Amino acid sequence: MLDNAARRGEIALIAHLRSGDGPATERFVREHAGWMLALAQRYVRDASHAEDCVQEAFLQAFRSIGAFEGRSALKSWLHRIVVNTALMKLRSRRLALEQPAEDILAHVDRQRCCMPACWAEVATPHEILERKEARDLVIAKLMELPDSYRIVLLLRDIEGMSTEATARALAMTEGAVKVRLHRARAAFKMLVAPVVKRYV
Amino acid sequence: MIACAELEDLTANYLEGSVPRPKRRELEMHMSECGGCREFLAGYRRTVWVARQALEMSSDPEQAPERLVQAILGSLRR
Repeated sequence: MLDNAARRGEIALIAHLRSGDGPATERFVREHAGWMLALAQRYVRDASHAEDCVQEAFLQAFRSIGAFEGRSALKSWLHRIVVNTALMKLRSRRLALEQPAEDILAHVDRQRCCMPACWAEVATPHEILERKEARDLVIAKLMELPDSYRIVLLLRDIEGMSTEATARALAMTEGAVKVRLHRARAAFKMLVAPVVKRYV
Repeated sequence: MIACAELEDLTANYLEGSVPRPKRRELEMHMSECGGCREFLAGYRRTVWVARQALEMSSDPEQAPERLVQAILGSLRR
């Protein structure tokens, strides 16, 4: 949530961007391109595809900034544009989203509810995640998930999208989203458990 | 009485609150007797939290590569 001063600053910035102010545009691009690139990369993985997403997202943002009503913060608005752009990119690589990830699943299925119990031993996962190395490892494990799992997990658990919205975004049924989300969480749990165990 | 495998299949719906009440009661009864499933559910919950937290706590890179910034500015000028 933006405070009043930040809100006024954003309104002024939006006015500059709408008027085509070159220096303001450059500052805006430099300020946001870094996190937008990191966000796009979580979805499309490939660095050059992520750069394409960011470029496309900026083009879309500037095309529609005249219609931006300011109901959300500018950064949240940009965030949604990047996610949508990345999903469009993924849809153009439809096969990646449908990849069934049999190798991970087979392992998860064998484990059933007898998965390593090390998570229950972690008293304060927050303390673990305060270590950058641990965070980087957790994120690396997330990135190891096949696209078909990672995207559902990102949309539902990270972006907080509803099952219905996720199903719409991925052109899947809600039932299929639920099944895939559960399998994605189980696969991620299996991947990340050894990482966390290093710190307990 | 439900089996461990069924509990695992229903975990996501259970956490979402979309398991019908009679089945929910069965699940809870199973968990009260099965330490493995209690641990599974706790770990499952924590896994979701860890994924979110790791991404939220990670600082974004301060700047995109200059090449990308220039490409964006170039495409905006066109």
